[in-house]
Amino acid sequence: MESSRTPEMVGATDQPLTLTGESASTIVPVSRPTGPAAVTESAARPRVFLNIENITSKGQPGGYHVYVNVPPGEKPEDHQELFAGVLPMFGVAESSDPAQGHSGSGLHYSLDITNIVQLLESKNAWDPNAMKVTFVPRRTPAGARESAAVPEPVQVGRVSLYYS
Amino acid sequence: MSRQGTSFQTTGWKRLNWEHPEWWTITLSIAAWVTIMIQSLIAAQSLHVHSGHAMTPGLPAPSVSSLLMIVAMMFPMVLDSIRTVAARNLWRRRHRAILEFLAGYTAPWMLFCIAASLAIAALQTQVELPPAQAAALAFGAALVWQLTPAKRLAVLTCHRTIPIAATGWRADRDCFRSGWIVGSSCVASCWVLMLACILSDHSLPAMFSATVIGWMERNRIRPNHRLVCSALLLLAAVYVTIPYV
Repeated sequence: MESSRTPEMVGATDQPLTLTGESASTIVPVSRPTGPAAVTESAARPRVFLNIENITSKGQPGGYHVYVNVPPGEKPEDHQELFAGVLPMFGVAESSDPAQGHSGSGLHYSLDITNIVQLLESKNAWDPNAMKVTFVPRRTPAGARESAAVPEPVQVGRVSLYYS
Repeated sequence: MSRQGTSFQTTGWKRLNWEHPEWWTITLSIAAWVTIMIQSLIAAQSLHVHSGHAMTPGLPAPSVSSLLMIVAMMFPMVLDSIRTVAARNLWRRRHRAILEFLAGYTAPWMLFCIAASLAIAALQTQVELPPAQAAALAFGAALVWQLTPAKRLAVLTCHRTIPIAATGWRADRDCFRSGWIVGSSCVASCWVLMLACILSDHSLPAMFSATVIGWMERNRIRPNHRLVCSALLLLAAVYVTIPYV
């Protein structure tokens, strides 16, 4: 059981993704685990984490909702079962700037998507070689974007998948 | 019993490798410290035999001694960054990623140390200053540098992470680049301390003190600046009053 706590990265994007206030998707290529997750795979199902790393921006952009493997041509909002979590952008400008008392690496989020992966597996809809991640701007109850009229671009340095 | 013992050892070893992939960096650092200590002992004995001789026979070439200093003193500072780089790579690439990070980290330090050694050698032909007094001056300068905003900024960027591609040449490039960024920030942060060590003729007390000061500063979220400044002041005073440290 102890070994299952050692996280293993099984896939990550190769290029940063820029979010400009519209929905955007990226594909994470996934490899078979060869470390601790491979050892524990047969005994206990590993937990699955979606990491959104090095999120940087110069302004105060609105947050984003994250969905996993939304079918092509369908609205992410219509698939709440594929909703992975929220990316608040509070403090993103400060964390991106070393002059503001931070390293400049930006924000990092880790979302537990174990239940979503299990659901997709049960529907035979989980591709073990690739995962699609969709970012949707958060909207106010009235339907407007959270951010200002001209949304600040947000750079997502990397999206990665971990088994633990 | 013996089989059980072997099995336990294997499990323990595997677990250590899983959870602490930076283990071999620590081993390299310890080996570098032992080599430096042996060289210092040999040099001290040679000086004792040829008393009054100004040179320190037995000391290696500047590039080798610089590399030893960097491995011994600076590698322990970046263990967290090494763990991060390892965790951000595919399992089969973890140790390769660490090696690439360390190569990138060592490069700016080597450039600095070689440039500093050459500059010091050139200056020594013009100005004659005993190593202890030169080290005292450098520790004093480190105290002044400690109080500047540029130094604080450099310490912060020592913790910087960048996105690392998962596979291919991009992964190699990103790991090296990550090391280069952290290494450059470390040079900007600790260059005066390293200069003091070079000026002191790689004296063990100077190197050990600089390592402790650097480690204290790097591994705390809020470093105790008073403590660091006091330690630097004390070191400068020690090298002024006791010229043969």
